Amino acid sequence: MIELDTVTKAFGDRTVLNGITATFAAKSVVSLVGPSGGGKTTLLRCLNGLESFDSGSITISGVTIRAGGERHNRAMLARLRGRVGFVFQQWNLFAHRTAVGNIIEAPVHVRGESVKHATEHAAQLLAKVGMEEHGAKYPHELSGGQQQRVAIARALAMKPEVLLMDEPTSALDPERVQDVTELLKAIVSEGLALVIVSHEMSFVRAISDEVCVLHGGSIVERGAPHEVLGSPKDPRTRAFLGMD
Amino acid sequence: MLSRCDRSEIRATLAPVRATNVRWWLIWMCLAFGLLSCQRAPTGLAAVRARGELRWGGDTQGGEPYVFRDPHNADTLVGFEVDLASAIARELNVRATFVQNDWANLVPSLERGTFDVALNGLEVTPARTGRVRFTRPYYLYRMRLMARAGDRRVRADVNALRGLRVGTLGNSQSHDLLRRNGIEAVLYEGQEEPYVDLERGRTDAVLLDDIIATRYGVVKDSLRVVGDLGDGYYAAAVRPGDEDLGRAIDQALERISRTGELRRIMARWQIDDPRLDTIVRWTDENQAQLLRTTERATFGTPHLALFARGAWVTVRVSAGAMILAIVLGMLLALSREYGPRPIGVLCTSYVEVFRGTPVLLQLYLFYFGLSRYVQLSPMTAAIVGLGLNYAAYEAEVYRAGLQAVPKGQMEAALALGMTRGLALRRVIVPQAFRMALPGVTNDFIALLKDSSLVSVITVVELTKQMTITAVDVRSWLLPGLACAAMYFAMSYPLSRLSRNLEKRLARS
Ligand SMILES: Nc1ncnc2c1ncn2[C@@H]1O[C@H](COP(=O)(O)OP(=O)(O)O)[C@@H](O)[C@H]1O
Ligand SMILES: [Mg+2]
Repeated sequence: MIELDTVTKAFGDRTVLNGITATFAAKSVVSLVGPSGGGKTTLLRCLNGLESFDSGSITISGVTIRAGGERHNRAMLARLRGRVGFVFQQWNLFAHRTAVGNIIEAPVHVRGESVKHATEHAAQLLAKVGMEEHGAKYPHELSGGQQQRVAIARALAMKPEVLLMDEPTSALDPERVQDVTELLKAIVSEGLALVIVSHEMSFVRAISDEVCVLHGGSIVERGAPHEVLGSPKDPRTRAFLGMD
Repeated sequence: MLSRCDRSEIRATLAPVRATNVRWWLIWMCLAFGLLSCQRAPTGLAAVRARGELRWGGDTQGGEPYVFRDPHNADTLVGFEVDLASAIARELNVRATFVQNDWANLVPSLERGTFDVALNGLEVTPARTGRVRFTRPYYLYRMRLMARAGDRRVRADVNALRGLRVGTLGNSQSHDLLRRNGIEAVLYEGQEEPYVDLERGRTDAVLLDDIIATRYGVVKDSLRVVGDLGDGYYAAAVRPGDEDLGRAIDQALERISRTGELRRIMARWQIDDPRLDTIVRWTDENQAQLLRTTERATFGTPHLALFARGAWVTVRVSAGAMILAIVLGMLLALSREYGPRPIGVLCTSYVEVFRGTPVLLQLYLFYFGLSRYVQLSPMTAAIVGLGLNYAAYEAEVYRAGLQAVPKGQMEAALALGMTRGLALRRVIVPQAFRMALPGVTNDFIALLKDSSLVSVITVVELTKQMTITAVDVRSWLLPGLACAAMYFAMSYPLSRLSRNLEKRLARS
């Protein structure tokens, strides 16, 4: 379960998150949608402590972080990041490591797993994301979609309860969107919660249990995909979806 | 006849090729002519008279009482050799002009024609006798042995010195004496440093000319004069081809000696001694006797063995310094990029100070300046001194590398639960290092060559070994080429490596 309690965040005098309070159920897929600059990425980054916030608190599976950033949350952040994985928009694979190297890095050096055990697990994960043949390749030898799969496997290797994904479809060829949808559905079926930022509405519709519309730093509407995307009530949502 | 149009067409087709070729040839020929015209001006007595000036070479760094800057008036030079040069010039009816030249290279500079006569405590040694035309001597010195006051092991006997470390100046007669008797010589490039190191216990004794000992050694209370190990002569030197000039200076010196002016000059500088009577009464026979032994050493295998030993020292100093520079440089760069602000500021200052001051000065301060507080062996001081200096350069190379690692790499590491330190160690530094590697390799090549500077703190590395040998064999050509070949053999693989690394980086 993810709980946000009046989370506020400003860059300088520009308020980006305007007191967001929300609860997302465990093991569900939540999509954050909304106009560009609405604070989606910022909110996602706050959820695993990559971005600090100015007031409020965030609780994920019993771990709470508060305003003030790294200095005030050191112990909590470590635990939080053990439960929340992040797949970046540009994947950010470690350029000097192979696919397997990327996946075992954190299990070995953060969790203290043995290299042998971590490598076996990495092989299973690579198989799961359909990359079993590319384990020895470096990121620059992989296509965008392949890098994304490795990034997902890398996040899964830490056995998170929640996976955060920023724009998972933005850097993919349209034909590949279907593949990643299937992959994510498979992952969710094993009991993982997903929070996804996306502006690919067909993808959002296909994968989400719930859709949140973020506008000007506030959640202006939320609900099941067919409701929010099909018959939105809030005028800002309608404007965003181009329905008026 | 070609029409206008035809001609311009031809010019248009030929010109681009020819013009660039011609330009290249012109540039190179100008350079060659320029270099050739730097060759010596007319020489000999006639030239000195025509010019109305006797240019004499010396090194003010040698200090009191030879040639040095007047402490009360930095524009004038004083010293007994200044007085002597003026007296000789006066006898030749010209004026004396001083030419500053590094002491160790007085003879090569004389040969090149930088000045007419070398007059700066040049000892008449068999090695030099074969190379220059010495005038009659103007001073008789003693090789004076000094030791720490309480150290009874040191006696005025070459056999008693075996197994001890004895400081002296490279290629001096004292150095020759020590080498001939198989005594370990510690070579300095200045007059005062041997006594400083003797006081501090870095050496056991110092063997140098009595003038130097009196000025720099005897004044130190903790040192004592042990005795003298022989004597020798200072004489002026001209090029072997300038026999007429040599003879004229001989005659001038003879007159100056006969009239008592020579002794008066020495008395003025408190270095007069009854034994100088020998000089005053100097005869042609004495001169023939003095110049009788010339050494005909030629460059050969034993020298190459010495060079190999020097090269090994160069490798050890360079490698040691580089390892230190790599580690410290990385720490500096990380502190500047990721550390707390005050530490970052400190590290920036470190980089600026060490890059902004000459490494030679740093070595000096490090070895001699700090010797009162820390006693580093020459080798350690060389490695640490060069290492500290190069760390400043490495820090800049790494900083560029660190900045070239995309921000997302750190975020990805943090998102996986790594601490900042672990992320730096596992993710950022390895990538930054890889990007910095070509630059680091290039710096290593530079360091290999800069390591020759450590001879100022008595480390005999390849270049110093070459200098000593070149003076011994009276030629810089073969030793110079052999030395260059050795440096090249060390640096070329590195430069190949650096180029390969660059290529590999460009590919990924
Ligand atoms: N590091 C930052 N510094 C300053 N402003 C930022 C920073 N990151 C994001 N912003 C601003 O915050 C607002 C929200 O950004 P973001 O969360 O990326 O929106 P979205 O992902 O919804 O497009 C934007 O106006 C953006 O310019
Ligand atoms: Mg965004």
